[in-house]
Order: sequence, then C-alpha cells, then structure tokens
Amino acid sequence: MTLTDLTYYRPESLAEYPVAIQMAEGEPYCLYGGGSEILSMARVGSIRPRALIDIKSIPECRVLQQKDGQIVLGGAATLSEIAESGIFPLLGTTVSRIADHTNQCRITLAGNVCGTIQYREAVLPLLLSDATVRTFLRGQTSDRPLAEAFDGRFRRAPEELVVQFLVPAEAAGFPFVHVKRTRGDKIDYPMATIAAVRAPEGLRLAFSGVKQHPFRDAALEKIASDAAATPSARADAILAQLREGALEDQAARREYRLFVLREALVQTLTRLEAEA
Amino acid sequence: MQMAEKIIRKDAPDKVTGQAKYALDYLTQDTVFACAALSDTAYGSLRLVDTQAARRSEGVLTVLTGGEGMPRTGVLLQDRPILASGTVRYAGEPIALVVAQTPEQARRAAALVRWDISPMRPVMDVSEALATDAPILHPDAANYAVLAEDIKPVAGTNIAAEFRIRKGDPASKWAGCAAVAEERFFLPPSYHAFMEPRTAMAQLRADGTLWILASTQAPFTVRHLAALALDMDDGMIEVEAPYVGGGYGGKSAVQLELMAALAARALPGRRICLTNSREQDMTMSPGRMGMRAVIRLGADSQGMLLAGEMDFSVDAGAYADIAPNMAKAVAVDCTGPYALDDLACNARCVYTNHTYSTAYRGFGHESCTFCVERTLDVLAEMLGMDKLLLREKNLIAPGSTTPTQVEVTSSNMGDPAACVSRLRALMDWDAGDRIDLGNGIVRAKGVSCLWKTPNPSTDASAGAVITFNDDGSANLQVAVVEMGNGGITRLCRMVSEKLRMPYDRVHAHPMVNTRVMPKYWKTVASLSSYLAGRAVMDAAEDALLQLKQNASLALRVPVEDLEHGQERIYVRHQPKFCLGYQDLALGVVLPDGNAVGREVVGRGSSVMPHIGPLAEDTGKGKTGHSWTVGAQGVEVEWDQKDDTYRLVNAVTVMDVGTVLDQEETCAMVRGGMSMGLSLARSEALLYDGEGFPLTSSLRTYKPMHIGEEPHYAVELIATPQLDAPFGTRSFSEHGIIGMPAALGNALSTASGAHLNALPLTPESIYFALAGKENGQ
Amino acid sequence: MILRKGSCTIPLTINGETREVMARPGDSLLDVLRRQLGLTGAKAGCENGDCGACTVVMDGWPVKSCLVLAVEAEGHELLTVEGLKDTPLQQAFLDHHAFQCGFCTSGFLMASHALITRHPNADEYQMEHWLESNLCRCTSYAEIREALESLLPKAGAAETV
Repeated sequence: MTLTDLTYYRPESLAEYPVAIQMAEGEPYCLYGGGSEILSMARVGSIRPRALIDIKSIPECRVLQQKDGQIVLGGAATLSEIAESGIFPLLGTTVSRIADHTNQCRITLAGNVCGTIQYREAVLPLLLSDATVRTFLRGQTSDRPLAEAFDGRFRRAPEELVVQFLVPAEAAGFPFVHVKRTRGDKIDYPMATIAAVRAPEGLRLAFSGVKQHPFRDAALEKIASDAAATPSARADAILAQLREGALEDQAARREYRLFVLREALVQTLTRLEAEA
Repeated sequence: MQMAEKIIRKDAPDKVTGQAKYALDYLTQDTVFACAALSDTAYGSLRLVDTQAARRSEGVLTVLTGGEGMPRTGVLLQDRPILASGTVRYAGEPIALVVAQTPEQARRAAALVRWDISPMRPVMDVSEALATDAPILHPDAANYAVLAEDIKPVAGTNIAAEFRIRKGDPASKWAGCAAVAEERFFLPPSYHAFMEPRTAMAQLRADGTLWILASTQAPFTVRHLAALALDMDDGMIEVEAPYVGGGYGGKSAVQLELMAALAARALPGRRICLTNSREQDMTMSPGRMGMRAVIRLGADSQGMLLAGEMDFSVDAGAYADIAPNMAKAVAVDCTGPYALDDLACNARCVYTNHTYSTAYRGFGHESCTFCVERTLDVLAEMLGMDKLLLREKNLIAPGSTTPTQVEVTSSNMGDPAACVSRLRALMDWDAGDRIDLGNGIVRAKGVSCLWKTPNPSTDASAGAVITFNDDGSANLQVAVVEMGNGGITRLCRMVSEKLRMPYDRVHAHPMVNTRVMPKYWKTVASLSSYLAGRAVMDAAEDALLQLKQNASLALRVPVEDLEHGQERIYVRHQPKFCLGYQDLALGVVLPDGNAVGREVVGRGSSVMPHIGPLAEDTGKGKTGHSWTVGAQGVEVEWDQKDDTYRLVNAVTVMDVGTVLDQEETCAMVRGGMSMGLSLARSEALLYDGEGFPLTSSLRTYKPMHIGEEPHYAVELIATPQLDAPFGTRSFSEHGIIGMPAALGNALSTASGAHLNALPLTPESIYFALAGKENGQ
Repeated sequence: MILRKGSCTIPLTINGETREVMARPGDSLLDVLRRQLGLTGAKAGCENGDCGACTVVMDGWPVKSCLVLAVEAEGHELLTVEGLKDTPLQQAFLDHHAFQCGFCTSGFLMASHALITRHPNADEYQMEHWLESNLCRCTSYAEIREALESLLPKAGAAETV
C-alpha cells in the first residue's frame, strides 16, 4: 500500500459532507466509494490523493427503494446489493457482469458511473431509462437529467456528490436484452457491451467498449427500430455508422471487434423482437 | 497392490484452517524489506546507475547495484548477473536493489533510482534472433562457466545450446510417402501464475552462516548457487523451504534468493525480506519459454509413419537458466509415443530480449506435443484416415526405440495402446469428431497422445532418514517440498505400508531444511515418488532391520526368524513372542534393567540409474529412467457466428503404474489438464514494439476461472514400473502435456482452419479463417 | 464524522472478538490482519483485486481485503478463515480434495462461506458467479465445485452432455 500521509473522513450524514469537503480542501482528495479504482491507481502511483472522503455512511446514498413511481438508487449502493434486490432487473444483469462478484460487493453505482476506467457499464441501463441524477453541491440537492450530466464521462464539480439516480419505474420494467462480449473470458473489460430495451416508442440501445466511452445514439436507435428491415440488415446499417469510431486495442483488433459486434447486434435485435 | 485406506494429506488440516504458513508468513518484527528497481528498456548498454536520491530516501539502509564485481549465476550456463551489469537484456531486469525499514519506503526509494541506458533494438522473436545479421545478445557466451558438460553455446550466434537426433535415414524415405504434412508453429512465452508470488528471506548470522528461507522447489540448488555467487562453502549456508503456494517449475529457478543473499551480506545480522509484487513476478522473474517449430511427417497409404524431420527453437528469453535442458528434453521425446525409425530433429535454445524463462510444468513437452500432434491431425486429413486410428497404428511398443535409441519395455513405459483404446471409448470417438448442431454451433473432438521421460542431472540423488518417538510412531525426514504435489503424504504412505503401521503414526515436518535433511536433488520432474521414494523405502528397510536387530537381542532369536506387523516385531513361528515398536525403537531395556541394542535411525538413499548425456551427433543416450504415457482428448462447442467456443469435455487416460491413491492421483491429473487448457485458450506474455511487457497483471493475463472449465474424466491404467516403489510411475505434471494439442485439434476440426499458434482465442480463429496462415 | 489522520488506534470486530489495531488511513485491511494481528490466512496474491486470495467476509459479504482500508472496517463485522471452526465447509474441502498448494484456499473458503450463509439455496449459476472471483491454479475447479455441491442442495451435479 503506497498511500501515505492520508487523511480519512467518514461523514455520517449529508450535513457532515460539506464539513469534510471543507477540511479536505486545498489538498488532492477523492470521494471514496468502493475504493477499488482509487486503491489500484494509488498503488501504481497514477494518483496521489492526500485525503479520502468515504461517502458510504451517508444514508441517502445507500437507498434502494421504489417510491412514487420512481426507483431510487443510492450512489453508494453496491453492485451486488443492486443485483440481489431485483429492483431494476436490467441494471442488476448489467452490473453482474462488471468485474467479478466479490468486487461487485464493494463497487458502488456512482463509483462505476463516475469512475476513471472508461467502460462505466453501469451507466448503460440508466441512460436507456432516461434517468435523473440527484447531486449535492454546496449544501444544496439538485436534480438534472443524466443525459445532460453524462457525455461519455460524468461531468461534475470536484466537490459535487452523486447522491442518487432516479429512474421512472415504468422504464425499469421495459423488456430488455444485455449482451457482453469479451476477448474470451467471462470476467473482463468489454470488447462490446450492448444494453437494449424495447420502449413504447421503439428500441433504445446503449454501448460500452465499442468506442472510447459509453454512449447512446438516437440515429442508431432509429435504425434499430426499423421493423421493416431484418435484424441482419439493421445490424449492418448500425455497423456502418460505428465502423470508423470503433476501438482497436489489446482486447481486439478493430476488424474482429466489428465482426463480434455485428453478431451481438443481430442477437440483441432478434431477442428484443422475441420479447414483444 | 493398492493402498485402500482413504487418508488425509499431511498438509490438509493446516490448509483448510488458514494455519498453513508460506514464505511471506514468516515475517518477524526485525525484518527489513528489499525492493528491486527494474529496467524499462528491453535491450541496451547500461552506462550509469545513480542511486543518490534513493540512498537519501527515508528509511533506506542500503542500495545494491550491478557492475563489474556482480557475480553471474545460472543453473547450467552462468550467464546472468544477479543485478544487471554492462548490458540490460530484458524489460524487467533488476538494475538495483533497495533495502529499507518498511516495504513502502523500499518501493519509494526504488522508484528514485536513475540510470542511463543506450537502447538498442530488441530481438523479440527467435526468427529475428537466428537471422544472420542479428545482434548477438551474449557475445561473451564462450567464456561463461558451464555446470553441465553438454551445454555448448554456438559462438557468434544467439544459440545457447543445441541438440540433434539422427536416427535412420529420413531423407531417403520422403519419396515413398503417400502423404507428407509440413506445418509451422508458434507458441508465445507465458507465465506460471502460481497464486503465491515468489518470496525470499535471508540473513547473515553471527556465526557467519547464511540463512535463506524461500518459496522454492529447490532448496539445495539455492544453497549451491548462493555458495558460488557469494564465494562461500555450501556448508555455511542453510536453506529452508516452507509450504510453497504453487511451483510448476517456476520456483525451481533461483533469483530472489540470490538478491536477498547479496542484501544480507551487505547488512550483516539484518533479516532481509524480498517479495515480488504480482507485476514483478510476471516481468522480473522467469516465466515459461516460447517456441517456434517446423514439423514434417510422412506416412504410407496405410498410415504408417515413414519419416520425420523436426526443427524446434526454444525461445529462452534473455538468459538461459534451464532452457538448454528443455531443448534437450524436447529432442529426447520429440516424436511422442510413436515408433519412428527414420528421424532427424534439431532442437536449439535461443536468446531473445524478453523476460527469461525457466522450467514449467511439462518441461517443454506441452509445447512440442502441440506441434507434433497438430501435424498428425493434418497428416490424417491428407490420408483421409481416422485421427485416432492413425495414432493407434503408430504407437511405440516394447522392442522399439525412442528418438534417443532407448528400448522401451512394459516396465519403463507402460501401455499406450490401452490408453488410446480407453480414450476411444470414453470420448465416444466412433460417434464422430465433428457434428453440426445447427444455428452455427459445431461440436468437435480433438485428441493427443502424451509421453515424457524426465531429464534430471546425472548426479540427481535423494536421501531419507527415519527416526522414532517413544510411542513407537515414526518421523520421516526427506527434503521433498510441499507445493501442492502431496509428495510428503505419498512418502509417508510408503513408510506406513512398508513398516505396517498406521499412516497417522508416520509424521513429517512441512519445512524442508538443508541443514537437517539429507540432500534431495529438487522437487521437480514428478520424480519424488521414484527418486525420493526409493530413498525412503531404503530407509524403511534399514529401520526395519534395526528394529529386528534390537528384537533379536531381546527375544534371543536370530533376525531371520523375525517378522513385522501391527507395529510389532514378532517371532514367525511363535507370534506371541513379540515386542512393539515403542519398546524397540529407542533401544531395548531388558528385565534386569540393562539397556541393549540401539536407537533406530533408518538411513536410505538413491541415485538415478544409468543416465547420461546424449551423443552429439546422433542424440543417442538415456536421460531418464522411464516414460509415462497417456492419451487425452477435448470436446468443444464452437460457434461459427463469432468464433467463440465452450469447453465441454476433457478426458485423460494415463498409465500411472500402481495407483497409491485413486482420488488424489486423479485430482493431480485434472489440475494439469486445467493448466493446459488455460494455457492454450488464453495465456500469452505480450510485449510492445519496444519489448516492454503489456501483460503484467492478473487483470490482463487471465488464467481460467470456475465456470469456464469442461467436465473432466480421468481414467488410470496401472502397468507396474518394476524398479519404482510399489510399481508406481511419475504422473504429477503430465496432465498438462496433451491438452493444448487436443484443444488445437478440436478447434481445427471444428473450424477447418490450421490452428498452429497459441493462444487459441476466438480472435485468432477469426484471423486464421480469414486467410492468414496461423503459424507464421 | 469519523476522522483518521496518521497512525491511530482503531477497534475492529474480527471473528467475534474486538481487537485494537494501530493503523494509518492508507493501510490495507489485508496488511493489518496479517502483520498486526498475525492472521496470515488471508494472502497477498496480487494486491489488485484480481485473484481473491485475500478474501475475508465483512457484514456477511465477501470482500477483497487488499482493496479495503483498515479504517473502513471500523464499525463492521469481519470474519476471516481463522474464525471458521470445524465447519462442514472445511470438511467438504478435505473430502473432495479441493486444494493442492492451499494458497488460494482461505479465499475460497471465505467466499464459499459467505455464499452458503447468504444463499443456502444457491443454484449452480449463482455458485459459479460468486466463486469466479477466486483463482485456483493447482486444481481443476471440479473438486471445489463438488465440495460446494455437497453443501448446496440446489447446485446439483450438471449433466454431462
């Protein structure tokens, strides 16, 4: 462990949070959820925080409940808690494929969405359900659409705390498909992850691992929703749009990634139709 | 003869309670910590090392660097400076060693060491290394001290050693072949991935002795190489090996121990701990060799093999370590368990600029078997012949000779035909090896035979001592390291069987100590049951004689009239005249109070019989005492829509000689199969264009997880090996040997591609099908 | 608010006992367990969350102690392998030869213990899902699988196809 000269803060309420921020101000600090990213990066010296603010004891951040037609997902709920609760099945399925199960017992929802590692797969179901993100900044709680805050990365002020994600209960109930392709092993970063739902207006698709960052794209959704074309034809048309931006990296060379992505798209579209 | 009693391994209670202690669990309050600074350049002249900032860093006690005085080490060829000197030859090579009060201080200071390397273009592949204009990585090779007479570097090349097999006249046979298959192969270097990273502790004591405790399979090799490196007498060095968390050959290499020893000498009296982070374990410390090969096999229209020409280049990496012997081992067993009288084989050990390699489970056989067995499949296809039948027809039988012209017998080899025959049944081979299941899914089966003889040093030996406790229970002292192989358990069973006493009353100590135990070559090559076993049986025999001699004095009968059973020595014709071991083992007290006889100390030893170097021109010679043979198969389900596949079944039939413990033996064989499948499906150490390692953590280098494994079936054939204790045979490592080949054959059959390179990833299948030749 | 700076005395609840440790905020739980409390059952296999050899149980969930700070564990219940006493799980590992070198065994026992406690009716899929978090290099996993199946009635032997 190469974290030295560190101060550890554990605010136990939302009111204590700005106190911790104020005490930590002036030094590099991290908001600390599951810690796996922060501790791995600190070990190799990529980051050198002098303070950690452990937000896992703030009750609002730990909520997992359905209330007033909304599903409330605390930012510090762990991935395994989310999966076991069954509260949002697509999200539960998606997060069950992030890292491995024991790591899922620590990784938090906001930690994955706001993390440095580019895949952020937990965001896909949230994007698909037009989620709202509730944050806490300078003593004030405020909501905004996730689509505004997330453009591939989550844009927030350093001291802004992601308290909860709110998802319309109806959207969490849409028929869904989740397909994850890796280099070969079940536990791995994605070569291509597709999360898709059948919404009333058509299909919605969100991708991770295909381009540099996760994304949703209305133009691709329009192609995907064209019931007149076969799944194969639609997959080819989507692929044509993605070809240039697709990654070439250690997980896969571009040509193979696109080959795999095509099959994953065909499978996704076929299965979603069967869901209807 | 089979030992029916189900037993608990000696190490089992420790291991299921967390009480088993491995090297790093022996930290004491006074331990100080070492950390190496590693080269980030693969090849270059090391001009300057600046340790000033490191020395001034908090808690630092000393910083060691290489340079002219740095001893060179090596178990065959002494080519490797313990710390880089003059030339850096791989990214990850240790340049400096910091010792500090805490691990964090040592790491921080190591990061402050600076150096100046003039980089040269690294040689990352054996074909580059063998090119006529290749840079010579070891220009001084001719002057390296050599610890084995048959290791001769070829001057002016990157070849550290080469071996040839010349049998019959293959050149004259090609014309008469109905089919000739020629295939090229590439296996990249990979990593042992034991769960316990390598660790060593050392202390130079007040009496001048050097103490080392390490995660090692080879404590006596550590002692010897430390004596050479530090210019000390062997007797002044004491090495301890506790439980080891996985070895697979990788912990038979000696590296951290020597680094810790140098630090101990620099800080007399201080107890030094050097442990690898996982990243260091994968880049600084040796891994598994790579290989390039060309195999040419010809057969007549009936499928009888007529000629073979094989060329193997072992990619040893930056330093030779044991790789020359692995090249030799490949040559010795190059054909696999098949009869081939007209054969030419060249096997060479080549230097390149990646992390050097050392022994690995299978000792090169998992690699050469992949190449030859893939070629056999191609040959079968050319002949339109059933792939298993081709193998069956050519199996070597008693009376025939191996590549090095050793005659095989039922005792020294076992029964390969029985293995293949049982494999055929277990795999339901006759139902077909390729079945289209629809929706793009294909079921396919692939097979491979296996064999292996060990290649130990000709002077490999073992010793064992048996003493007794007042209650008549026994203590076994034999320096077999416990790294999961269950060696000590098996040897205790042998003692219990021989002395006719319960297994629970034969005790052994988990810690191997070179001061206290007789020398045992090293715990490698699946040899413990044979080499250490013979010494143990010898010691048991000796103990029994002494027990009988004591009894003879007390019972006043000649020794010849005495028998043993139920922990007693008794008079054969008057069984009620007896004495228990507890009344004999420490001498006998007569009714009048006089003590007679002696404390029983059973002594035993063994050496490897009749082995020696290979003739330089033909390769004729005997390197091991026996072969273990087997037949293996893998069944996959391959999805041609995205080239992914699922492992469905994996089968091994192996002739292990007399079976001492059915379940333990099968578990060990399955463990080898698992490692072979993991290796074949996803493992490779990758480097970028500059020779810098890309796979240096278990996040990017992925061994198999639960859920990815096939259903395993293991069947044992039991042809006794007559010179082995109870007729047993080596088997511990062998489960791995044919697995990569069987998987490669299954996927090649499924896809139609010639899959001649590892790892067999979906992506590699994709590109092979897309038309790129796979083994180039 | 809890604030920890420099070396502090921290109470930890481990295996049903309250122990006081001296820890700096940056010290991992793994380090503190091993070096201060002598609980060396949890192992440092990679210190990166990839191998599972350091697994302990916190509030009933398996966690990789190399990626937990000791200061985080204050106020939570910890269970290490040393806290398992003659359990059917340990016996099952013995009976089914579910280890060889033993280095991964503590981690597997803790992950398995958490699974069996939390999901006694786990099926094969859930068992694999939980245990994928741990690497074993010596065994084939078949033995560990059999050990778990003997304790999880719903995770019965898969059919050989």
